[in-house]
Amino acid sequence: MPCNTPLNKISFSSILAITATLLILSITCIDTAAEDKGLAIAREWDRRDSGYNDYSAIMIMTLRSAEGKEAVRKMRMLDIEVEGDGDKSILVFDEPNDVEGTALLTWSHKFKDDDSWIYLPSLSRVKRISSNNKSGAFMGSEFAFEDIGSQEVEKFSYKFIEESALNGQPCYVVDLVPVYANSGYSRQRVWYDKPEYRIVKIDYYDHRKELLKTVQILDYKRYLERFWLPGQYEMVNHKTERSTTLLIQNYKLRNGYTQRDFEPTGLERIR
Amino acid sequence: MLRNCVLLLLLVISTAAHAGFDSAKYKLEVTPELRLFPDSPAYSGQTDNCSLSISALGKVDMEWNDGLTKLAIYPFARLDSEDSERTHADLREFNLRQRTGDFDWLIGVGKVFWGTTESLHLVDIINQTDAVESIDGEDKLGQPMLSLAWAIPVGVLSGFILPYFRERTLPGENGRFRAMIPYDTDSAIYESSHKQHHIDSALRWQYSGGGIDIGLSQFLGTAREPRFIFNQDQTKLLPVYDLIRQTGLDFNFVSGSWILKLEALYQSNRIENFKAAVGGFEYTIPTASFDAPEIGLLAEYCWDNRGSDSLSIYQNDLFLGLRIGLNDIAGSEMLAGITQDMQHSSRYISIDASRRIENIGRIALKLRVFNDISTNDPLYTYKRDSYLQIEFTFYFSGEISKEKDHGR
Repeated sequence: MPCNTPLNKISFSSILAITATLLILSITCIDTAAEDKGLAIAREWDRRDSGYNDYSAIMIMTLRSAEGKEAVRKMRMLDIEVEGDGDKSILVFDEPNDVEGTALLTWSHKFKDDDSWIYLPSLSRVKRISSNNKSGAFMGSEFAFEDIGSQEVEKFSYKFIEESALNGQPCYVVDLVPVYANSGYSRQRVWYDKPEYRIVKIDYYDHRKELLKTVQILDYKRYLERFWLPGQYEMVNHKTERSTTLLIQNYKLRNGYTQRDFEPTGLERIR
Repeated sequence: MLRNCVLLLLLVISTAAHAGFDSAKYKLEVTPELRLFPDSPAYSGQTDNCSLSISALGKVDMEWNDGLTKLAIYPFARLDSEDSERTHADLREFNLRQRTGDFDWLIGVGKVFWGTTESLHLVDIINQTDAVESIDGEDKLGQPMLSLAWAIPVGVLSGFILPYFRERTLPGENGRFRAMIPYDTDSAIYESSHKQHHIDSALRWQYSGGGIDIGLSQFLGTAREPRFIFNQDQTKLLPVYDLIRQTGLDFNFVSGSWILKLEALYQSNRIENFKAAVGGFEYTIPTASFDAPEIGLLAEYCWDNRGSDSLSIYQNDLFLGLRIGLNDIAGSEMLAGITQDMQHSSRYISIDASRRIENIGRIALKLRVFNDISTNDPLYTYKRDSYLQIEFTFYFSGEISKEKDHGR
């Protein structure tokens, strides 16, 4: 049927416009829903992971080159929760020998730049350092500084992708986009296991949107009948074929640390 | 006083040792070193074109009471092929620390650092400089002390009683880095009639948080930096240690990639009261890449109101530096700096580079160049002492622990 009346023409273009608007609206709605759901999953993960007060652990890193050459790094980690802000943590190096006694203190913050200091035992000096080198490799490993620090919900924006099984385990898959400056990643794709909201795998994408690294998080154990803490991280760099195994042992929760144990003055007591 | 302190310390240690320690760590660092001087020496008797040296630093750290009580014993010794004054030994640390509530006690020989700038450590005063170790002033002698740090609601307040003064080590007749006339370190002159036994004291308040670090300090006692006078027949330079009163400030402000730094002091003494300051920034280049090295740019300006009369070589100087950390397995790093005197032509260049040799130790290269040194600069007598140093540090360590504890 010919419909060449002006009225018809208008209705047709109106319908087009309305359809387009609806389409955009619905996409936005779906998007908002995906963001909300992603954030909700991250919040639930954070909620289940909060309330331990403080913990300490031993970290053993094995760095592996593409040819299979290995190097070992040993550290002690001390961490305390801070009411309404990110955790404070101290990393003390035990191996290699030339950095033994060096301690890295970080006050992570939810909404502003982290504060960092390093204690250099050879000079007995506590030095303020810039916290913007988040993207760099940690001690030559495949972990970046930003992979090791305390993970705050507020440091990312979220998008729920799907529910899918990983190694037979049902998971929530969520994309995390860093909202802090100088991240080495355009996004992280995170797998949370469905019953316990434990992070079991992360794919890291660089700024060219290419898959850079993958970490598998294994050997979760339950502490204080509540907190699931991992015993092993397997990080693989897809570009270089280098890998790093991080073992975390001797978890101790609720040691009774105080905020004072995490002050830059007195960091030399740690060695 | 000193003997009593040592006795008390030994008593406390033997009591604590009797109680049985939780953990003990032993470490030994051995560093052979070669220095090459391209220029022949300026004064007769000085080291020719090369010197060989070896140093050892032992470290024993013990813990009791869940880490609340700690003992550190760090002896140090060096043998030098050329300069008998550089062949020396020191107890870098020998102290007992105790944490009780909001208080941290330390008794014994300790090491304390105050300050923030890179080119110059202006405010730092507790420990004497071990000047035969290096010309940078980074190496310090152990200081006998009783100190108490009190965590108050805003920051930490620390008090120090320093019952014994350590004289600065200075190069001997055969050493480089000396004046035309050799030093006589055995005949130091003191303003205080108590000489080395004058009881020095210091107070410091320090606060960190919200992107700033601030330290305010007051020191009363014997100057760490000597001035020099001739002996009677003008054949030797004698170090003179005056009594001083010094107020210091050190400050950091952090914002994103920038750290702004400032150190300032006011000193009164019997010769000439003076003010000095050093300030500048460290800028870390943002990378947002996993493979990129960490690169820092530094700029600092040093000022002293005594101008050319200053003992300090940093009276009106601009320092520019470049720091590179590769974040690689070898932990390769480099710091290069140039200090340009804005008044005279003098230029001082330093480059430090080092990397780890896995499971063995660390190799380091240090280059120091005195360039175009003007005749009225305190550095003038060093003008032929540019050098390249190659050193390798071997590490040995062991540990005994009853139960793996993570310390606090």
